[in-house]
Parts: sequence; C-alpha cells; structure tokens
Amino acid sequence: MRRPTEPQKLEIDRVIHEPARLILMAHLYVVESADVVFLMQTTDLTWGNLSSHLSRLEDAGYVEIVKDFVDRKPHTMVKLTAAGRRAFDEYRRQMKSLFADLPDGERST
Amino acid sequence: MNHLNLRSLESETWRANQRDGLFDLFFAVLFLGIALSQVADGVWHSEGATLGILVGVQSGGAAGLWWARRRITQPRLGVVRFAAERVRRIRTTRIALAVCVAATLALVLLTALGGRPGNPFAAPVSRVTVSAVAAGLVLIPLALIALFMEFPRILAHGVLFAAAEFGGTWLEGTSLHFPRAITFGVAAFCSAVIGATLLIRFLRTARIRTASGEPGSPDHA
Repeated sequence: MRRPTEPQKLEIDRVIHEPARLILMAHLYVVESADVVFLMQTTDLTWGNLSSHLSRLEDAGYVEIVKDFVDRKPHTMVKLTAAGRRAFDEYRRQMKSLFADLPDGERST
Repeated sequence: MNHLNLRSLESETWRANQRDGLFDLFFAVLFLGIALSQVADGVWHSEGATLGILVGVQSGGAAGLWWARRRITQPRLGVVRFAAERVRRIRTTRIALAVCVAATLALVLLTALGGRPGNPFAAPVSRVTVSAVAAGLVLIPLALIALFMEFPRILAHGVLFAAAEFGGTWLEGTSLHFPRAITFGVAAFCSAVIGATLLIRFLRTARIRTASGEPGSPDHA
C-alpha cells in the first residue's frame, strides 16, 4: 500500500521516449511498412544510427524487420508489431494525460 | 518548431512519395499524345493513324516514366506500403485516371470523326457541347482526386486540359492549322515544366541513401 507521502512515479516507456525512436515509431504507425531508405530519408539518420535504434525497437518486440531481395538488391522492410502499436497507443495516452490538465501559462509556485 | 500530428504525418508521407514530379510528367505525356494525334489526323485523315499515335505516345511515355520511377527516383524515395485507407484511395484514383484516359481517347475519336462527311456525330451535337462534355469528364474526376487524395497539383493539370480543349474549339474558327495540336501542345509544355522542375529539385536534394553506411555510396549487397 502506497504511503500518502510517497511521490507518484511517472512511468514512461523509455524505449519509445527517445526522440529518434519516437519519430521512427510515429512514421511506422501511420503506414503499413516502410523500407530503411525511406526511414533514413525521413529521419535523416545515418545507417549506423538507424540500425542501432531499430535493433533496440526490435529487441523490445515493437518492430519486425524483414529482409528481402527486390531486383536482386537487398531490401529491408520495417513494420510495427501489434505489441508495438499497443505500446505506441499507450505512450500517446500517457503523454496526453500528462499535459491534459495543465492550462497554458500556468506555473507552480 | 513544426507541429505535426499523426494524421498530417500520414498525409505528408503520401505527398513526399509524389515529390519526384513524375506524375506531372505523366500528364505532359497525355497532352502531348493528344497534340500529336491531332497533327496526324490533319495530315493523314486516318482514324487508325490518329489512335495509333495517341496510344503509342501515351504508352511509350508511361513506360518511360515507370522505368524512371523504378530506376531513378524510387532508390531515393524508398518504399512505403501505406495503410488500408490510403490503399483504398489509391485504387479509387486509378479508376478515376482510367476514366480520364478513356475520355481523352473518346475525345480524339470524336474529333477525328467530326470532320468526316456522313458521320453520325457531325450534325446533332455542336463542337462546344462535345468540348464541354470532354472537359467535364476529365476535370471533375481530377478535381475529386485532388481533394480525395490531398494532391492539389492534379487540379492544375485538369484545368490545363479544360483550357486546351475549349481553346482548341475556339481556335477552330480561325485560320490556324491544327488548333487543337497547338493548345494541347501548350498544355503539355506547361505540365512538363511543372514536372521537370519538381524532378530536378528532387534529384538535387534527395541523395541515394544506402545501407552501406555512407550516403550516396554504392550499395554492396
């Protein structure tokens, strides 16, 4: 049982909360899937950075990476998993709730 | 700081996928086909030659643009598979564009037959009515596409078609040779300028990003 004096902890999904991963998740949320060329163009990340963030998201089970060949050229498609979509929806809800009751310009004294 | 929400992000993604200007060049090819078919009609007075040149130019141009999309712009754009709602809209757009192409074919055929003695299309329907119907058959679907697909540039090409169609009908009363070829040639030029400008700007700003680590470096599979 939580004591009255204990501060309420704000639990944010830190996998999504990182700016580059947030942008990646947002872009993947609004489409069915996208390849890494599109993601690099959109986010302006280098391949190394993008690969690192995608690995993190894949380890968390939020994205699925499918390697394929198109015209004999390697082609990597990325899509959100169902768990990834649920996590992103929950993150949106958390952020919305966090800022919901704070009027513009109000500050704590 | 820009304020993007998820809905505008999807729209922006869709519009970014069309920024190579090839869709605009497709309209230039359509108008050029009409212009050249009018010249063929005036020179050879043959429906076969008229339709053959129209279909040949439009098919050849479309094939060339498809190749350019696959080999030149797609490697820079990347591949996106859109969600179900956008896919439905794309399917509807394709149907509307097929109607537009069919309308241009019918227009050229009616125009070719219009000058033949004894044909059933000459007397009862005025050329202005034919122009109005043809312009409407093209402009209305394109306007709907522009709205439905959040692609306002298409409306510009629809207006160019309508202007070329009415301009050609109006110039037929003058001493100019091949009036429709002139008006559709001008429309083709305007569409080509729009498309070429977008394509050049796109090629200058969108580098080929590969998975080899360095932008613009060859892709080593």
